[in-house]
Amino acid sequence: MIPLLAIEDLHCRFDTPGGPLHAVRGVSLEVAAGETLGLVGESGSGKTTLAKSIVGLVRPTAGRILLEGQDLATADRTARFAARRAVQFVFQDPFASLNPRRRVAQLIREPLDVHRIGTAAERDARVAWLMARVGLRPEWGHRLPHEFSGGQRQRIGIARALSLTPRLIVCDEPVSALDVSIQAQVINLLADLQRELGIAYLVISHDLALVETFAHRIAVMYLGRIVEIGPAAEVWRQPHHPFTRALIDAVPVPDPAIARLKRPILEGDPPSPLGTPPGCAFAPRCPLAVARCHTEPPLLRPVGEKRIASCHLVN
Amino acid sequence: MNQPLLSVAGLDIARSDDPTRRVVRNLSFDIARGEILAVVGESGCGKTVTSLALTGLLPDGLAIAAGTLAFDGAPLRPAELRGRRIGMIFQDPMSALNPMFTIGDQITEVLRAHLGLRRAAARARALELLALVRLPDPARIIDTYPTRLSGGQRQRVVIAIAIACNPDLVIADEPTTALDPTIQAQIMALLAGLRETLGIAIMLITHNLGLVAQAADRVMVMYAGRKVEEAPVEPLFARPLHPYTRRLLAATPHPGHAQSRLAEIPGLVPSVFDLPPGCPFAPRCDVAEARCHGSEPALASVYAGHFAACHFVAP
Repeated sequence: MIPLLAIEDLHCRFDTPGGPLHAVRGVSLEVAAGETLGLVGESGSGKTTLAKSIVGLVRPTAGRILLEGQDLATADRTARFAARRAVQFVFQDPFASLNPRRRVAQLIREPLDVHRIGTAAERDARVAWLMARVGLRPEWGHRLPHEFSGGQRQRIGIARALSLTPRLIVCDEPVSALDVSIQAQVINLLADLQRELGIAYLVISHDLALVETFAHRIAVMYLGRIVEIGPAAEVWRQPHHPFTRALIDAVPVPDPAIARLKRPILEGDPPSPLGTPPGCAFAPRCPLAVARCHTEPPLLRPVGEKRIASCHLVN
Repeated sequence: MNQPLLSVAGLDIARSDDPTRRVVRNLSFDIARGEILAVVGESGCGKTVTSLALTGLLPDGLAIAAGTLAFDGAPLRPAELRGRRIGMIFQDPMSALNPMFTIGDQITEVLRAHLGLRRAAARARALELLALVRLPDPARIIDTYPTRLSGGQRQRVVIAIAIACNPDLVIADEPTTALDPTIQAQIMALLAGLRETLGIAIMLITHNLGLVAQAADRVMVMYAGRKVEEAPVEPLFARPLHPYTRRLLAATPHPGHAQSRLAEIPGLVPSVFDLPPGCPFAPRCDVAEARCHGSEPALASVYAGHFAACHFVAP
C-alpha cells in the first residue's frame, strides 16, 4: 500500500556566513493515512526545516517527498497546486500566523478563494461549518484576530487548515504557546477531527510527554537525522537510542514520587548544525559511547517489529 | 516557630488610577529560609505580577493597593533588596542580558554596585560564580558576549548574576520555559543544587506541574488573582482539594499511562477585571452548584498546612 506521505533521503542545506548549514541530513520516513506521527528533537535538530520542506516553504537540496506516491518536486504546476490542498500547516504562534487586519471569516475563507472551491454561497456555508466544528461561534466571523484568546486563535488556524479538506496537517508546536487547560482542548479537538475526517498529522514538538499521549508513532531527530522511530507507547517504555532515553529522563512527570527519583541528566548543549562530527552525532554527549561511536556513524536499522534505531550498541 | 524569610499578608495589586480594579486580591503567603515554593497558575492569574510587586518592578499603571510585605522580620523595601538579597531569574535569558556587554561586565556590575567590590576582586568573584553555575571554561566565557552562548549557557549566566550577592531568596519566573527539555533538566538540577549548597530559598513561578512535582517543597495555586489552594507538594498531588487544581492535573499529560484523551477544562480563563459573581472558577467547574455562583468561598484550612478556597471543602 502506498503511504500518504513518504520522504526519501531528504537533505536541506543552506549557505550561511558561518559555512554550509546542513539542517536535514538524509531523512526517510512515512506517514500513513489517518495516522499521527510525532517528531521530537532539540533546537537545531532540523525538525522544523523538515516540516517546512513538506509543505513547500523550504526547497530541499536532495531527496524526494512523495504524496500518495507522487513526487512533488517533479510534478507539474497543476499537480503541485492540487497537492498543496492535501497538505496544510498549523503554526506555533497563533498571534503571528493570522493577518491582524482580516476578519476571521475572511481568514478561514481565503484558502477556498485561492483554490476556487465552490460558489460564493458554498464558501460561506463552508466557513460557518468550519467555525462551528472547531468550537467558534459562526457569528464571530466579522471579528478580528486580536479579539480572540490564544486558544481561540489556534482554533482559527485549525479551521483555516481544515478548509481545503486536507489529508495531512503538519503542526509545528501547535499548543506550546497555550495555557495547560487550553492545550488539552486543542489536542482533543485535533484528535476528534482525525477520528471524524481521517486526517493524518505530523506533529512537531519538544514536549515528549504530550507527543507520547497524542501520537501513534514517535520519530526522534538529532542533528538532522532520524535516530529512532517506533510506536509511541513502546518507545516511551523501552527506548533503543540513548538520546531517546535522555529525552524521556528529562521529562518532568507530574507525580512527586516519580519526579524526585534521581535520573541521569544529559550534559552539554544541542550540537550546532554547522558542524559534522565524524562518528555518531550523539557520541560527544552519550553516556554509553565506546571508541567505535566516535569514528563510525551508525546506520538506522530495524530493531524488532515496527521499530528502527541508529546506535552501535543496539543489537 | 521560625520566622519566615518572606511574609506577604493581604496583598492587593490594583490599577494605580482605580484601586477597586484589582489583579491580585487578598493574597497571603510565606516562604521559609531555604524553601522552594512553587506558584502555579495560568496566564493572568497574578503569579508574575506578585513577583514584580515583591521586587518593586510593577509596570506603570499597577500598584500595591493594600497589604503588608515583610522580609527577614523587617518591612520589605524592594529597591534595597532587589539584586542583593533577592535575586531574579526571568524566562527569556536573551532579553535578560545586554548583548552589548561581556558576560564579565554584566556580573561585575552587580558586584561593584551592591557589594562595592573593586575591579580585580569583582572579576575574581565573577570567575567563581561562573564555575559555581557549572559553565565550562569560565576564564574564556567571562570575556565573551551573550550572543556567543547557547540558551542554556545564557540562563546559567543569568543565574550567576541572580546569586552574585549571596541572596536569601531567588525569584525564578518560568526559568526553563524557553529552553529545550534536556537543558531544562540541567537548569532545574542546578537550581536544586544551589538551594542545597547555599541554602537559597526559591520562589518558582511556573505553569508546568511536572517541574512543581520535581522541585517544590510547597505549592500555591492561583486562579484569577487569588490563591485557591496551598499545600506541601505530596498532598497537593495525592489529594488536590480545589476542583481547579484537580482539573489542571487531569489536563496535564501523564506519559506512560495510555490516556486515550486529556481531560480538558471547558471555557476560558476569566479576565480579572470582569469576574463572575461568586467563585471565579464556578463557570468552568464540573461540580459547581447554586451557592458557588452566589458567594465567593473563603480560603479554609482543611488539613494541616493544606488550604483551599472551595465551598465543597470548607470544614
